[in-house]
Amino acid sequence: MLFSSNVFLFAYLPIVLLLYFISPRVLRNPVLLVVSLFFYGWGEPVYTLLMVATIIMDYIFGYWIHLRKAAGKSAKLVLALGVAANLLILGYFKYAGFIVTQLKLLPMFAELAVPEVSLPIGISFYVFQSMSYIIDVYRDDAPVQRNPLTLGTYVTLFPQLIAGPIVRYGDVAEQMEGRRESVSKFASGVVLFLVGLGKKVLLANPMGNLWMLLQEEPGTAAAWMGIVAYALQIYFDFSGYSDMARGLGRMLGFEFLENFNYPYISKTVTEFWRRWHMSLGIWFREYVYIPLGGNRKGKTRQILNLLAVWALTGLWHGASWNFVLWGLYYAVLLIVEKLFLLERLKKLPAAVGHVYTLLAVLLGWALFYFEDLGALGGFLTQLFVPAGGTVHGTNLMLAFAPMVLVSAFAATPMAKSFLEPRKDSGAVRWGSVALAAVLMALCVAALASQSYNPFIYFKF
Amino acid sequence: MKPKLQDYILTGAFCGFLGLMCLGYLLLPKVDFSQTEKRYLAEVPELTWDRVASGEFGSDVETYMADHIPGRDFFVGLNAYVELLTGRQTADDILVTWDGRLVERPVAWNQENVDKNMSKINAFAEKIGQKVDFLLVPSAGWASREQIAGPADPYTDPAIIETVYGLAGERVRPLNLTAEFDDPNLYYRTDHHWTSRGAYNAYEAYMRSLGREFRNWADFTVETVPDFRGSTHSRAALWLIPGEDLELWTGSQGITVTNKETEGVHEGIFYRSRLEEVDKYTVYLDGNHSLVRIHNPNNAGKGKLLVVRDSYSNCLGGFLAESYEEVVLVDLRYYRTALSQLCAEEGFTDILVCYSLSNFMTDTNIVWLR
Repeated sequence: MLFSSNVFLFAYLPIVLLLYFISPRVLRNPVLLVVSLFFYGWGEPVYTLLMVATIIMDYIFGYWIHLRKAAGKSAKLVLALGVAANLLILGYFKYAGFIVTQLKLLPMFAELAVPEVSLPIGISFYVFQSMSYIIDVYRDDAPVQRNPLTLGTYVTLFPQLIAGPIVRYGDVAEQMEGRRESVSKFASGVVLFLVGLGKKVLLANPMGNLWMLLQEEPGTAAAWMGIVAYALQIYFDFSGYSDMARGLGRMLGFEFLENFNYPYISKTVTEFWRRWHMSLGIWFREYVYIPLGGNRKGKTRQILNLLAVWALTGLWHGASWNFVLWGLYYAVLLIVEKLFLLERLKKLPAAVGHVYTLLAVLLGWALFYFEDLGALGGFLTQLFVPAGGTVHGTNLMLAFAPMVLVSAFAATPMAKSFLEPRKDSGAVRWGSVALAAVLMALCVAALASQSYNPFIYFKF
Repeated sequence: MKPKLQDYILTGAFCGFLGLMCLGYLLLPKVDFSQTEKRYLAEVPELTWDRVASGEFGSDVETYMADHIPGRDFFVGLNAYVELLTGRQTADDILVTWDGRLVERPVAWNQENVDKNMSKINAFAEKIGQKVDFLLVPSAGWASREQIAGPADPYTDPAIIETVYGLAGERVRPLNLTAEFDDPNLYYRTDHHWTSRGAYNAYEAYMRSLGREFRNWADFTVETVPDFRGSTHSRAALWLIPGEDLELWTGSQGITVTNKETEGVHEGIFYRSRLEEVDKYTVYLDGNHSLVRIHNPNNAGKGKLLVVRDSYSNCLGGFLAESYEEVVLVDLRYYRTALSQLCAEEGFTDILVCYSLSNFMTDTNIVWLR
């Protein structure tokens, strides 16, 4: 189920809020677990079983690690087993097809049949969350969870189940039982949720539409405008989803970490990745980069660590070579920045850093978008070999220009830095009520229109 | 932190709105048919284990909820205005003009379809061994091209029509009325069709070109029906644009109409019960039918006309009947028998192929002309 759907907004959410708030405190986690499983099973009920199995498995591993540690024994092997089991699940459901396709290139495996596994929605997110639980227990970053239902609630929590933020167990362990809901939190959750919904429905969708339309158009300008539109689409889509998740979490009394911090205003690629999908970056830093030695074992080792982390980050985004390429592209940029570029950029005007970062990120999105390397080559040619466009292309760009400008503005913290110091003033408080109302109306309007389809010629 | 007044309002309004919408789905009477969209809305999804397991149930529910959202017309209209005011209408199918007209976006050239259609028309004329008149009606958008609000692609209807006419075979006689139709008032403001005046002008010009008599426009009694909202109105969903008048021009008495789909003989060319609908254009000859026969007893011995046509001729047909004893209108979207056979049986005096340019460019049913 998607947040930006009628089913979620007008059936699921009101019923869930009702059930949640009429339940006594002890039942709230179990209620959340049940409704989250329902949320997950809506599109593909079968995979709910996989989800339940994952939870039971991680519950056992967590408990096992706890028992060994309590008995003063090493739990390293159990942890390794637990991590391997989680990776195996992710590997099978997400990468089996990809791996077999690659193996088939070798003569001895040419006969292998490519398994047809449909990707369980959100698996990349919830497997990472489950892994963070057993690792945090192993590291004593969080106490073991004795109640399997509470652990289940943590893994399945519907706000962040499908697209994050990837909540580390250590960060919410305490909230799982000790959180308190309140009207103030609920109200700020409503605003955050509606801002997120607005980002998705009112900005990301039109930008996606423009990107689709411009892909049909020749010419250099169309290519640049198109990739800018795509960059805006992917940002608002993803950060909108994160905002919705955080908003919903807040309504239910949770506080999740921020996932995006205006990434497009970065002056270096290093900074960009500290601002983009922060929860994934933190996850890889905490559970891969630092355990590998991070930057503490010399320059060469650091570079190797970076390459490993970024190849994995790339693969995490999808089982396809272009994602690996995309990850390595960023690894190279980050390494170059660490070696000397950061120092140089500091001495140059800020504008240089902005332009360099935006260009690097836009090219990165081109790598990210085109799974087919031939199509990527064609698009890069269109970007860099000057060519004129069509009247229709120009008209499209003109027509969408206002929305592109609004989106670009919304991708900067300008509004926020203006409002933040004034947030307790009556004007801003009433303003946020008005904004919430307008966003709600416009989002519902956009959603209602998706099915509006007049037939011109019809016959009974 | 002590909650503020605004916190209570936000919480109450959000929960209240979601709750009301939820109840609205359950309690509001279910609308089966959407008048503006001219389609049946989604049925209540069927709940079976198989459909749930396959995920079909989930997508059915989404479709159902999208079709039956409380206040749908309001929300669709709101969205249409947001898109218009943010300038995005170029990407839409319907464009607005500064003087409040709703027109379709420019006709796109379709080489394959043009070649196919023209070869069919040429071959048909050869096959029946008779002259076939050919009229393409330029689009309403072209007539309003100077008035389009915001950036729009160029309308090139005259050039397109010229090119298509250039492909006409020996027995096909093109009729070029682009100069006469360069006037927005010959088209509706809220519909893609020509008005009665537009259809009359085409009738008069066609009769002059054949050297036949025609009934003068002043000899019709004109009745005005208010509140017509046509196809472009439904598609644009800009509900604040008002409806307009539709005219019923009555000439000869005693005209009767029959069509293939309905039993019995209808008196006169207007089907007044259709005036109750939102899209009243079907008042002319009851809308689209595979074969319509208009008989004018006052014109005994004045010959028979065959019109191969789209919906533009629903209105034109009534006028043509003023100059022939019988007018037969065939719509190839629904008529699949060989027309040459009909020609052999009926012995038509004249044959006209009349299409709006946009239909001619997109319609794939002219291949049935044989």
